Amino acid sequence: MSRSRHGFFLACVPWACAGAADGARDVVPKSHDVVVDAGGATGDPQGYEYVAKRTVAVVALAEARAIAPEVARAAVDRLADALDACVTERSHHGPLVQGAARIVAQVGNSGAVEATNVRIDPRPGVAESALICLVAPAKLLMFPAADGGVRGFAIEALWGRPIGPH
Amino acid sequence: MLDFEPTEEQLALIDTARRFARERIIPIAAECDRESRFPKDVFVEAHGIGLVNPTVPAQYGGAGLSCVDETFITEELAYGCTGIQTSLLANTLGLTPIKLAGTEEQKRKYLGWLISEPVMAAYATSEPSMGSDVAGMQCRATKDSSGGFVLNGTKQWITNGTLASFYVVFATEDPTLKHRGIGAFIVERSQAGVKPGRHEDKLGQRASDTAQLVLEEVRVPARQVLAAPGKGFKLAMETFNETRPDIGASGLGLMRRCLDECVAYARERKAFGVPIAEHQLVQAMLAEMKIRIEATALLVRKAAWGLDRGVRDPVISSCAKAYGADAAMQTAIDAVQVFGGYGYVKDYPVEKLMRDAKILQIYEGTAQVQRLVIARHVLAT
Repeated sequence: MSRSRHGFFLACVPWACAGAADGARDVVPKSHDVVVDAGGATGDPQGYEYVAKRTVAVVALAEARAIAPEVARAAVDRLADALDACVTERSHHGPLVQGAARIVAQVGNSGAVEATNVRIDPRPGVAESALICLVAPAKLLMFPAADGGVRGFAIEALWGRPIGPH
Repeated sequence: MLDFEPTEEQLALIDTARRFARERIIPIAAECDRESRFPKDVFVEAHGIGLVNPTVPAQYGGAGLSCVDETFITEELAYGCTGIQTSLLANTLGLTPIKLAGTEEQKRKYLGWLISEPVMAAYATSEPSMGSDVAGMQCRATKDSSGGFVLNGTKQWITNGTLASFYVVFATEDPTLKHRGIGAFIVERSQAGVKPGRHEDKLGQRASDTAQLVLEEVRVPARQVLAAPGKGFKLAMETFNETRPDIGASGLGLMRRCLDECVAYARERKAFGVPIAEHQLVQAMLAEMKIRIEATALLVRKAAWGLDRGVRDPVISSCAKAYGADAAMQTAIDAVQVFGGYGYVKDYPVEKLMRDAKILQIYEGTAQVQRLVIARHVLAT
């Protein structure tokens, strides 16, 4: 997938990043693609095409390529629902894990997600929640079938702390 | 272009499997070995976090992970206990023939079932009178008037035999036809005439469930025929071609465990006034372990990488299986040697590793059968 007008230099959601004052990191140090914009304090998408906020999860659409906006937004809503429910469920069996990840996914002609590039916050325990609560649901997304052309989407997600007003 | 760097998603997968092995498998491995018991609660947990059935395609609800991805999972879980790992991941052996040859209806029903519930599938080729000689099977499949088949016979050494909810059973319409008579059938445990036997009391991998399966007048409707007689042998071989690299990965995990245990022990244990790690003959054994680990990793990843690209190369699959299993056995023997007398008692983990390693040279085609496969291809070129 080629770069959007934002390129891959994407800011994470500012109001979620602002909660990292305890020293915990919200970004993937190894990645040069994700930049924290800790200075922001509004709930606006801040350059994202769409942001879906839930109780303990937020999913932001950085780019949707050759996917209708309403379809992409619906997919982000589904991901946010799945992430929120999964993180909440897992918190019943252990501590609430905070994490962040970004996914760039290619959508095939059949509408299935065919390839993903994933970046995950490297803190201990985050990988498991990212795989189960975000990557797995993302791979199960289905889009309308289409012939030819590169289709895909890029999202960033944060989870594990109260997100604020919806 | 070669690339040995795992993706970030693969690193996350490795981290998840490694944590699971450390937190859920290692603490109970010795107890499960002693009691010859498979921990079903661990299976349910592994299923819940996606470590079971990793290669089921997304269209059937699975994670759609690659064969390379699965070797990472296998290796990490095997580090904890190859017995528990074998039963945790044996669904792959049961689901692969369905993935390869199933109708859309069969895939939706059985692959979907494996994903939606923590149930087990088992693969049944071996019999009391044959194992690696698949073409020599005696279990009979007799066609009935409705297009289905009636199965009669006994299957032996079936991983998860007492626990599985369904089986992929290979049977022949006529034993004299050898490989040309073999078919494959999906048999549900709840069907009349399906009788799982007792859990076998084994030398190693005692935590994995292994049992006999008796089939008495089991009526298999046409919708559960996976491969008609004549097409089953090829399906069995293609399945092994896909799953054999995983045996190498299992050996890889076991070898890494051996090396870690030996390094820790060799640094502590003293002989002739110094830690035995300072004795060159001990160092040589540790170095040989490391060489085997690295060589097995390359073979396993190459075999799995080829499978992910649709390259059919049974020789590489057999090399990965044969070398990985032999390397694991030798490494485990050496681990016992490094531990000396303490390696021979159950207070330390390496005697279990040695018992566990042996079956890697036997199941899914013995070490000798792998060499037959390899030699046949070498001589044919």
